[in-house]
Amino acid sequence: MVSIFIVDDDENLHQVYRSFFTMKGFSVVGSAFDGAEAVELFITLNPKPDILLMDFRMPIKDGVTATKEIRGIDPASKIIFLSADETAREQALAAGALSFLVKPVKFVHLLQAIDTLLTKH
Amino acid sequence: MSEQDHQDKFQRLVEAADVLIIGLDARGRVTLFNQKSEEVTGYSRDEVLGKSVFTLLIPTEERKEARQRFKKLLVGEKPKFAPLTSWMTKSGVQRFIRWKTALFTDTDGQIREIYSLGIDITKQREAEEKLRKNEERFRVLAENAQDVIYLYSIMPERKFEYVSPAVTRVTGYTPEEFYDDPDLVVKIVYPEDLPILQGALQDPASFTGPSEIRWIRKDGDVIWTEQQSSVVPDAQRNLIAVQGVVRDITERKQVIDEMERARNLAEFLVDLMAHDLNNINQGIMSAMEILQHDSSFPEPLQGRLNDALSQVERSANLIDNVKRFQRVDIEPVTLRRIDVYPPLQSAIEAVERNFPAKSILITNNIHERQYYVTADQFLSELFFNILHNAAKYDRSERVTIDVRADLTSDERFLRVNIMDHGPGISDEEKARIFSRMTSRKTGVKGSGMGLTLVGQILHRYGGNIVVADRVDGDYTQGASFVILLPKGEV
Repeated sequence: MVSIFIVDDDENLHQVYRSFFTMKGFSVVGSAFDGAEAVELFITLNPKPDILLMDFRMPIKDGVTATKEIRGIDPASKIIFLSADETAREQALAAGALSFLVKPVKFVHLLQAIDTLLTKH
Repeated sequence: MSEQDHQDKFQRLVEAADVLIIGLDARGRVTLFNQKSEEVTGYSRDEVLGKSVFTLLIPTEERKEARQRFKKLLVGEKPKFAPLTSWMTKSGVQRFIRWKTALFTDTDGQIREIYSLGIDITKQREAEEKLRKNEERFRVLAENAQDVIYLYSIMPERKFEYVSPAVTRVTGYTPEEFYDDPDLVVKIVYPEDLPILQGALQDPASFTGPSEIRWIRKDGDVIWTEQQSSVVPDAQRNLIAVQGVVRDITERKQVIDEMERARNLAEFLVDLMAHDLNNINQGIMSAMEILQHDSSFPEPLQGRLNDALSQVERSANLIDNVKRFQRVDIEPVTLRRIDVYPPLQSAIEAVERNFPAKSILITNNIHERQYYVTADQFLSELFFNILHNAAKYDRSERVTIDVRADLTSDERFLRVNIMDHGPGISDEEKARIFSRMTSRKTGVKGSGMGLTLVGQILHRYGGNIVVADRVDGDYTQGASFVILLPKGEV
């Protein structure tokens, strides 16, 4: 079962992502509402999640910083950036995100990105 | 030496002299008229000798005064300064002569003859007059200028030599207040800008470019001024003064500040919309997609759900266009020579991807490296918007769009004609479709922001666009968008 870690400061999005992934048979193993919480939680997770969905603009610590830190902890972590701010694309990819999707993202495209990461990386 | 010898020598001297020499008897009749006098007046000696100098040579309006002066001479009154008279030449031209006069008396003391040496100072007078008129003109200019014109002496002492009256309008202080207090200029400078002015006073040579300095007006208001000055050296190249112009740019600064604030606000609003609304769109879209995948969701309502989803996509597209619009507006214009083919091809492929439910056929006669234009990274955006609109408004499942390009007859522009088979654009709408704001006011529907964006991009390039009917006279057969792009120079 594919394990997913959701990082986003929007509680509503957590709910819809979780509903969808559960419906698709994925396992949501972690939820964080800011970058700092994401890093803290990621350290404790064992095994590490297959996929991390990362927002950009979040309180305390943004998604780019959190991505850098998580990739520092586990260089094999697969992070998909999900942001409404397209200008963050370069920073996110430079920080170690493997994919960048601009919100609003259709689930079909999100699933494609997850599939690509799981099969090619 | 005989009397005759004296006479001959005197005559030769008189003739050789480069000054006018005339002799007059006690009645003002000419007794001597040398060669120089002939040259200056145009009269020959024979025409003048024995005639009254007043009636022949002195202009009518000066005769009375000249006669009075002459009378005073005869009674022994010496003029305080060398008199200046004007003479009319034979051809009617006025000449100005400065005179030095000597009197010769007979044995009983009666004045027998008057000899006068004259220098023609007409050219000097004209030059002086010209200079005077020029000075007057500059003075009028300076006195009436909206900008402050000044001359500030550095050596031997610091003081204003001249400040134009505009200084009162600009600073509230009169020119006299600046003349009385050479330090006033330092006293009224806005404290933060004082180092600029002090630097200028210590090293005026470095203060030649335009610089902006704030002043505190007499009424306490802070104003912005732009200074343009130059240094004035003396003959030994020592710096003795600074002269310049001070312009009140407060209003200009306020407009720039307002624009900056408006731009920041616009950026903030676009960012707010792009980020926060798209996060909301994400929530709505995801929730509806879950319903789509939920087998318990009533089948008859699936259509409504799809409609709602397409509205969310429309909202996301609108936000996307606003972001593009802003990008075109704020990105600096750096045009370069671009091959038209790659951006056009990329736009065609994007449009084909955007309408998976339609069969899109876009034909074009442009090859790679065939046509070059002067443009930038927004060229593909330009093509995309026109092609996308053409595909969007063509309701048929098979959409055909033809793109044809050629050079204009003067070869200054590449003409790209994009012809669709959509519903066309009526003549009334044609004039308005490139302006979003106009469209809003006049109620033309459907233009969205795409064509406004196209107009904005073409404005960057110095290009143009016109819309016509694909089939002349029948707009319902589809539209033809003719884009003129400046040809790329090698």
